[in-house]
Amino acid sequence: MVRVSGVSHRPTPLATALALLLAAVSTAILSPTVAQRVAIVAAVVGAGLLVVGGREFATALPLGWLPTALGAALVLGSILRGETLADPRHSIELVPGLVGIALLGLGLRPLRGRFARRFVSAGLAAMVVGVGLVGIFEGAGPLRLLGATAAAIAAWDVAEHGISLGEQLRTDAETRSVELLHTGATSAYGAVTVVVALIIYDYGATLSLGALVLLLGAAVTLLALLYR
Amino acid sequence: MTVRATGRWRGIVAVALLFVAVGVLTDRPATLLAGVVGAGLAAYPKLSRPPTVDLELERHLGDARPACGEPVTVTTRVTNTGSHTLADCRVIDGVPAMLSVAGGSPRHAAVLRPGETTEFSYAVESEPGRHQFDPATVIARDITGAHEVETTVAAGTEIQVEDAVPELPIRPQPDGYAGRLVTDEGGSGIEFHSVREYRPGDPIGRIDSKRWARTGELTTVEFREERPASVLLLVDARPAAYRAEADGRPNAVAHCLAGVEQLVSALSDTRDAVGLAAFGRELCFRAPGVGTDHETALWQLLATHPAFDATPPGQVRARGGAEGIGSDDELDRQATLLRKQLGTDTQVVVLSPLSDEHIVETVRTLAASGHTTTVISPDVTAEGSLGQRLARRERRHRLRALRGADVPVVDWDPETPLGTVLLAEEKRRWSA
Repeated sequence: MVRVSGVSHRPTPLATALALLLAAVSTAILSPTVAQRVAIVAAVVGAGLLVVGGREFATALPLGWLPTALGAALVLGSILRGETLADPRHSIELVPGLVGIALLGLGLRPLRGRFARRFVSAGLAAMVVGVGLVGIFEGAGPLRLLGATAAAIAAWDVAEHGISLGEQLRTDAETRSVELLHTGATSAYGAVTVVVALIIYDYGATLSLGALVLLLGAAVTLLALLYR
Repeated sequence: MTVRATGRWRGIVAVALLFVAVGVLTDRPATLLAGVVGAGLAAYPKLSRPPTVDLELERHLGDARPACGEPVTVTTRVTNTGSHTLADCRVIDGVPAMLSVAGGSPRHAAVLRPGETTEFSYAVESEPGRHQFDPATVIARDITGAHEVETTVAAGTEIQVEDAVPELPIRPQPDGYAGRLVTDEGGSGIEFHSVREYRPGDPIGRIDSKRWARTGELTTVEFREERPASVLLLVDARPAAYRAEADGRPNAVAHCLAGVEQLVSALSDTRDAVGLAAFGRELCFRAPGVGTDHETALWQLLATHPAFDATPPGQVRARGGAEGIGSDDELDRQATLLRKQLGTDTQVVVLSPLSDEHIVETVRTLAASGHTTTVISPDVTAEGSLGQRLARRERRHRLRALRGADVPVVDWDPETPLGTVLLAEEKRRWSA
């Protein structure tokens, strides 16, 4: 009898772990307190268990549903904890990032093969919203915002890379060197972008916001045209 | 070689635009600056070009002539012979369609600097027959993943697995022109047919000497003439026929091709004329013939003609490559073309999984136009989900429909060797 499973191609394990790690870094950059960091660790562990629970192993796990249930409980618990922090500003910093990690975990499990990329993109969107909220409500410094943005985009890129590798080569293929190089290259480029942006900010402090807007508007329009 | 843009970074432009909008609307320069990071990362894929792929592939077999059922280790080495580093080089080895992978993975990804070699090995189950490795598919992405180059690298490797099945039983040939098809016409042969009046030129050996001694009348004995048959092996290799029992199992076309190879080698030992045809990517037709040259041509066709490809069209990516070839009109066109080229006395043996109604129609049309037609159908349906059970029921229905139209169908479970199935079928018909 042939076993029918909804998902035949799963993201590669290393890229999955690295993506979750980068998402955690992005959220941790925005959330400085210890209570927040504990919630992040719980969410990442939970998302990791969600992913593990979705895999098939050579020898079947004795309690196959246990990692999934435990992971879901951890993720939901950490989000609840984030909601109930004493300082509401801490909640704003933390919750969107936790939702992002949870969505990334669901995308990398994946819940449904063809929705893997959508979940990962939704995870990026949640993390980006988090960065935006912190920027609006706290007027946070540029280093935090830029670092969190770059890490979130890198997490999305690594997750997407892992999905494409899983699709084309499946998880049993040896792909580690490619995953490490890709993650390294994207992260390094992200770091360079952050440094360049900070240098622009330092020199551009004297520039009026209007001029900066014009400059950026032009650059973004150019990009949008390039991609059409 | 196909070069395509993956477009995976496109969404980041939206992220950049969002930060810029939020930054401007809320008058937060730091948020605006996050837009710069977004824009910088959105521009990232523009920094790289599609990679140029120059690769060499080598394959080593643990045992090139293993016994049946023994797993064979295949070691594949890929060397970058170009002058650029391939940051993301994915190799999918062309495992012969009939062999399933027993251990390890035939897929591999590596970073390849110029001159560098990567190696991976896996094991395949050996099945009886001769198995040719397909070219390996290589997908190379640049470091940003924005461009993807897909190409193939070939290395002719072959596994020959000893056949555990005895050859099909073939009757020895009485002389150069006789065949195994016993006709109703009188002539030279073995089985008595009739006695007729002597005509000048009749061979002396066929004169009925006893009657001549008794009555002084010259008569000639006629035997049932035995003629060689003319057989066309027709493979259904349309996209619809590339069905497999489960992921990773050989598909129906691969089974059909393995069957054709066995039949060609069995028939070429006889005096029967063998031809080859396929419906699929394009119509392939080689009229029945005999002789070593013809046989060589058949083997060459089987190895090289695109219609005899055991990998489904457009396998790695769904888009591209498969337009038009699966349509019903195309099958009608190919079938009409085939009927025009086919000699009237040629028998047709169709190998098809009978995966849709249309091939049934085509076979019935062939039979109706006067060709003795037989169908050998590998059964690749499974007993799993509702859809699989439905497919199995539909196939059974098609088998019945064909048998109802006086077309004998051999239901072949690919687990059993074709020779055994045909022998059993022969016995069943004799006893029936």
